[in-house]
Amino acid sequence: MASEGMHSPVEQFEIRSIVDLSAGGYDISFTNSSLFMLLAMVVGGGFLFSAMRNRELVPGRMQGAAEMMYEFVADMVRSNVGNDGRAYFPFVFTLFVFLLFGNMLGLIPYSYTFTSQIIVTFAMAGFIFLAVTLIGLFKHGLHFFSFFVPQGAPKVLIPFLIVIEVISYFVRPVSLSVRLFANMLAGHTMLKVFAGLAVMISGAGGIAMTGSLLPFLALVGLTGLEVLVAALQAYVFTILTCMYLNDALHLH
Amino acid sequence: MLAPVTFGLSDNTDMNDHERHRGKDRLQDIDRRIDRMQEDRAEKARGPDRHGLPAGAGAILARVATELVAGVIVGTFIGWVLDRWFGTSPLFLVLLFFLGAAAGMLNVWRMVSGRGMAAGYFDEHRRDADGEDKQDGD
Repeated sequence: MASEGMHSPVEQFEIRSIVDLSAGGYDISFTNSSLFMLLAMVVGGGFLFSAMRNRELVPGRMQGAAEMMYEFVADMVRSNVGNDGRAYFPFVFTLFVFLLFGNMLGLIPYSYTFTSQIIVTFAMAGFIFLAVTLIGLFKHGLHFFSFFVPQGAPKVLIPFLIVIEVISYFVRPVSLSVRLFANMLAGHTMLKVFAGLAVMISGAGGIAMTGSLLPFLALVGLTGLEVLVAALQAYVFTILTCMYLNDALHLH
Repeated sequence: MLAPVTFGLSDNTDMNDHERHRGKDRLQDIDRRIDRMQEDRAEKARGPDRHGLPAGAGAILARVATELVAGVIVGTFIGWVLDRWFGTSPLFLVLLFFLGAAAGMLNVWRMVSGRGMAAGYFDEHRRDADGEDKQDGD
């Protein structure tokens, strides 16, 4: 029973096509990943819309939660980007809501966590990286490249240091995407491993079955931890976006 | 410091002048307070705080590891692409591997020295001269 009934802990990350589509030789099927991206958008947007539909001076629970989220992100943009950052608030807020709901929906059993796919997080980080670079270029022109030139360094070392600075700039989208992806992947794998362990031990029968209580209790704790990680990683991704935006707008 | 409420009770012109004066004072006070608030906001906007990231030991450890690995990966990848363009394998691969590792370490140094995840050069001397954003050490 144990080997037959045991699911692989990485099976949850498998992409399954729901509606097969292809265009120009590319597979653009609507997959379970796309479905949950759509759901994150619909649930996130729906939550905000329904919370703010019956606005009251003294907010109810829903309105309070929506306002808290709004103020949280607004404060983040204000303190990390400053007043020029207000123009980018809609994007940052959308990003935060999308990631938060994506991560949270992924915690529901039988659902799919699209942030556990590196290509999804890398596409988002790559877009942010490109956008921030372009904003910096448009705002500062060629002066933007002074970003990579360390001042006060010995002249001999400058070409060498510029190469290192440029590489460290290109590291940004990678570390940004890897952080979110790795956290979600590791967390969800761990949940499934402990769940599988509990099921396997309970299959032993007799007094040994009580041993399954241990991984089960660990699972309860881990689930709580994963809720925290889901919110925290959405926050970290968003705040780093703000910091990158700040660098591009102000060039120190 | 509130002016006594004397609406309609006093038709003494001296008193009315006094009243008007008080009102002007209060308006100026409000102006001053609004100015101060706006300055506070501008102040906040100028110096972004990079302390918003989680500061637990585990969080910092994970960030250090990510930066180091990402630096090597990106450096090696750029080297690999350059080699394919110029057909100089493995010259750039080896070179950029080490430069990537250096970039990763640079990012870690930035992180632990209070510069957050900001890439690019941080001119702390100019900032110190302006008397803003003083950092401990060095």
